[in-house]
Amino acid sequence: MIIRHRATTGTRTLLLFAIGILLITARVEAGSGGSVYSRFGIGDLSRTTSPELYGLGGTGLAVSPIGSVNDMNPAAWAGIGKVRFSAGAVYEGFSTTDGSSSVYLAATRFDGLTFAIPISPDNGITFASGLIPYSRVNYNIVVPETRSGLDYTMTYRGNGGISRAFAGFSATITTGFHAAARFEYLFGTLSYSMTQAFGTSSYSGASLVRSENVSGFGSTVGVLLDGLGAVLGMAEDRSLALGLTFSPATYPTSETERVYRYGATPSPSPPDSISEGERSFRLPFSFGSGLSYNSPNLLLALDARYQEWGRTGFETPAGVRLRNSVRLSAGARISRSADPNLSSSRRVTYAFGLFHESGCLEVNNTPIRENGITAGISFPILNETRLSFAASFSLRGSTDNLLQEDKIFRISASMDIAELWFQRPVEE
Amino acid sequence: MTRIPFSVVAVLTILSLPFAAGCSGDPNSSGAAILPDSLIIETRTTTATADTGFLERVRGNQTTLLVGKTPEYEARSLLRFSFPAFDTLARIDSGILKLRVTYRLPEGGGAVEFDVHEMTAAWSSLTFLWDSLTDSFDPTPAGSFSGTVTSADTMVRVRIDTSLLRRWLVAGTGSLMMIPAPGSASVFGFGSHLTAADSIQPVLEVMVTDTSTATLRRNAVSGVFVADGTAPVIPGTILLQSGIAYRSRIMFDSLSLPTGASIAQASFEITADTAVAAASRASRDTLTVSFIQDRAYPIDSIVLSGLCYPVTENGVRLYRGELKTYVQLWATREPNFGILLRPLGELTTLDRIGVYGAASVDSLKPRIRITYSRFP
Repeated sequence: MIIRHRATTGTRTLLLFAIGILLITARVEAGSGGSVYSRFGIGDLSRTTSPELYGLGGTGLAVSPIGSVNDMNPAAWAGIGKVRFSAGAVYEGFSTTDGSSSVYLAATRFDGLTFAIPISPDNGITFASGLIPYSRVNYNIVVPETRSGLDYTMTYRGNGGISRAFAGFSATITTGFHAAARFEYLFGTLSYSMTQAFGTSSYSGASLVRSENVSGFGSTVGVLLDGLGAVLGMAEDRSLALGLTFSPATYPTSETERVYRYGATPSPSPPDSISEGERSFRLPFSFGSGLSYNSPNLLLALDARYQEWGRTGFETPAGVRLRNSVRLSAGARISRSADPNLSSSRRVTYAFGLFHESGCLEVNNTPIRENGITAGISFPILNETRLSFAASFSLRGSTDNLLQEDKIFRISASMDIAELWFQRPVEE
Repeated sequence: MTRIPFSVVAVLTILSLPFAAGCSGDPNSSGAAILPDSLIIETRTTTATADTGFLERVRGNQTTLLVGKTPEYEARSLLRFSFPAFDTLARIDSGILKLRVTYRLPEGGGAVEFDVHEMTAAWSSLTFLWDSLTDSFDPTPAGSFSGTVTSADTMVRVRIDTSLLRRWLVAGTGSLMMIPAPGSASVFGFGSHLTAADSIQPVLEVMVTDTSTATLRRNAVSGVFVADGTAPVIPGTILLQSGIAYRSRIMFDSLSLPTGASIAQASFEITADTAVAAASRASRDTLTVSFIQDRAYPIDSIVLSGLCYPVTENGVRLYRGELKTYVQLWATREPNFGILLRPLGELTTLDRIGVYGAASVDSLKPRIRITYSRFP
C-alpha cells in the first residue's frame, strides 16, 4: 500500500491558520468573560463546532457538510469520501445589561478538532473521532458591596467547561439509509470563584474557588435517510434527507473541591482545600430530528432538538430551575458549484440561518430564551480543503424580573482539510 | 497590481480575533442580581476563658544588661572580654570597667552596690540562666562599686583587680559577673556589646607599662543578665514581668467559627491594671503577643509574634493588637492553644505590666472582636 502524499501549495495559509489557532488558544486564559447564565447547570451548551453548520443556524441533523465533519449527526459521516481534518476557534462577545448597568465582555477559545477516515466509502463505513466542547462556563462580575458597615469588592468568576472526546463509526445499511454510533468521554472542570477584597489593609479578604471535576461516558446514535427525494419522485439532482439523533441519558461523576485562600494567612501557607467527594448526576437524554432539501445549488435545512433538562437532579439555587429545552433552527446554503475542477471562487458557499432556543434555564419564573440569526461562508483554498467562517447575532433573556439580557456576537472559523489517504495507485 | 488572495485575508481575520477580545470592557455588576453566590459578614466578640501565668527564664540577645537589687528584684550581669597577645614582662597599672547607663529602676535611680567576681564556669549568653548561678564564679571579689546612680548619671566606672587582669591578659580572655550587694536599692541597666553604637558598649580599659605606658581598650565580646524576683499575686490580674520573666497564656476556648470563615479583622483588647504596673521612662509600654503551637509547658513553641499598643479610651487604658492571622489559623488548620503575652521589654528591663485576666469581671476580661466573612 502506498500512502499518497500531496505537497500543499497552500502551506502559507495553513501556517497562518495554525498560528492563529495557537494565538486564540493562548488567549483563552485571558478571556475577560461572558454571561452570568453560564453560572447555572453545566454552563452554556455548545451546539456544533462546524462553522458550515453554524452558519445554517446550527442546523445539521440532516446535512452533509462539504468540508467539515458533522458533529451533530454521526450518520452524516457515511457520505465522507476523503480523509477530513477540522480545527477551529471561536470568538464570543457578550453585550449584557441588567437594566441598570451594561458591559461588553468577550473571549476567544479553541473550538475543537475532528477528523474522519473513510474506511469503505462504498459502504459508508467511516471512522471519526475528535475533541469538541460540550459546555462552557464563563462569567466575570465585579460588584462593590457594603455590608455591616464594611466596604469591599466582590469578584465572581466562572470558567472552564466540559469537553467531549468521541470516536465512532458510520455505515450505509442500505441505499439511502445510513446509521452511526459514537462513544463519548466527557471530562472537564467547571470552576466558580468568588473573591472578596477590601480597600484597606486593616481588613483581610479571601477567595473561594469551587471546582467541579466532571468525567463520564456518553453516546450518540444517528440515522440519515437521504433517499427520500427519489421516493417522492424528485428529480435526480435533488434530494430530501431526514436525520435523527438520540443521546441517551448518562450519569457522569462530579468531584467537588473547595479551595479557600485567606488574606490573613501568611504566604506561602497553603490554601485550605476541602474535598466534598464524588457524586453522580444525570445528564439528560436528547433527541433531534432534521430535514434537508438538496438541489445542485441550494440546500434548505430544518432542525428540532429536545433535551430533558427538567430531570437532571441538579441542585439549583433558589429562583433558578432547569427545564426541558427545545431548539428550532433553519438554514439555507447557496453554492455555485461543488465541482472540484472549477476555480475556487466558483465553489464558495454561503449560508444563512436562524434559530430559536427555549433554553434549559428558568430564572425568577422566567424562561430564558434565545433567538438568533447566522451567516456563513466557506471557500476552498486547495482542492477540497476549505476555510469556513460563521457569524451570528442572538438575543438571550430579558431584563424583566431582575434578569439579564445578552446580545451575543459569535464568530467561528475552521480549517477543514480534505485529502486522499490510503488509496491504491492505479496500476500501470 | 497584485491581488491579495481571499484566503489570506480570511486567515488574517482569524488572527485578529484574539485581539478583538481585548476590546472587552471592564467587568462590572451587570448580572449580579441573579448570582446565587454571596457571603455573609458577621461580627462577634469572645472573651478569654482562662489564663495561666508561668515563669520563663530570659536569655540571649539582650541589648541592655541589668545590675542591682530592689526589695522585689535582683539582677546580675556577666561580661566577657578578649585580649591580644600580651608581653608577660609588662606591668599592669590599673583596670577600669566602664558601663554606659541606659536604664534605671526606679526611674529616679538610687543606691547601687555590687561586686565584680571572676567567672569560673563556662557560660554562654544563650544558655546561662538564673538557675546557673551556683558555683559559677569565684566568691572573692575582684572589684566593687558603691554609689548612687541617678537620672543625671550616664556612666558607672568600676576598678578591677590587676592580678585578675594579668591572668586574663595572659590567657587572652576572661569574664566576670556583677553581683549586687544587700545595700542596693535600685537597678540600673547599661548597654551591652549588642548595642549598635560602639560608645554605648561596655569597655575595659587597662593601663599597661612596658617600655612606655599605654591604655589597652577592649569592648566586651559577650554579655548576659539574669534576674529573679517574686511576682505579687493579685486575683483577676495578670502580671507580665520583664527580665525574669513572667508570661501568661490566655485561652479563648469559646471561639466557634463556621467552616470557611474568612477572618477580615480580629481586634484583641486587654485592659491594663495600672495599679500594679512598674516601669521606667526608658521602658516600652507595649505587649508582645504570640501564637502558641504547643500546649505543654514551657510553651516555647511560639510563632507569628505581634504587638499590642497602649491606647486610652474613655479613661480606660487598654492594650490593643490585631490577631486575624491567629484566628484564621484557629478557624482552619491549627488547634487553639491560646495566645502568649509578654512585655516588649522582656529582654532589656525589669518592667512589670498588669492586665486584667479571664477571672476578672466581664467588662474587663481580655476579648477578641472578630469580623469574618462566611463563604457559601
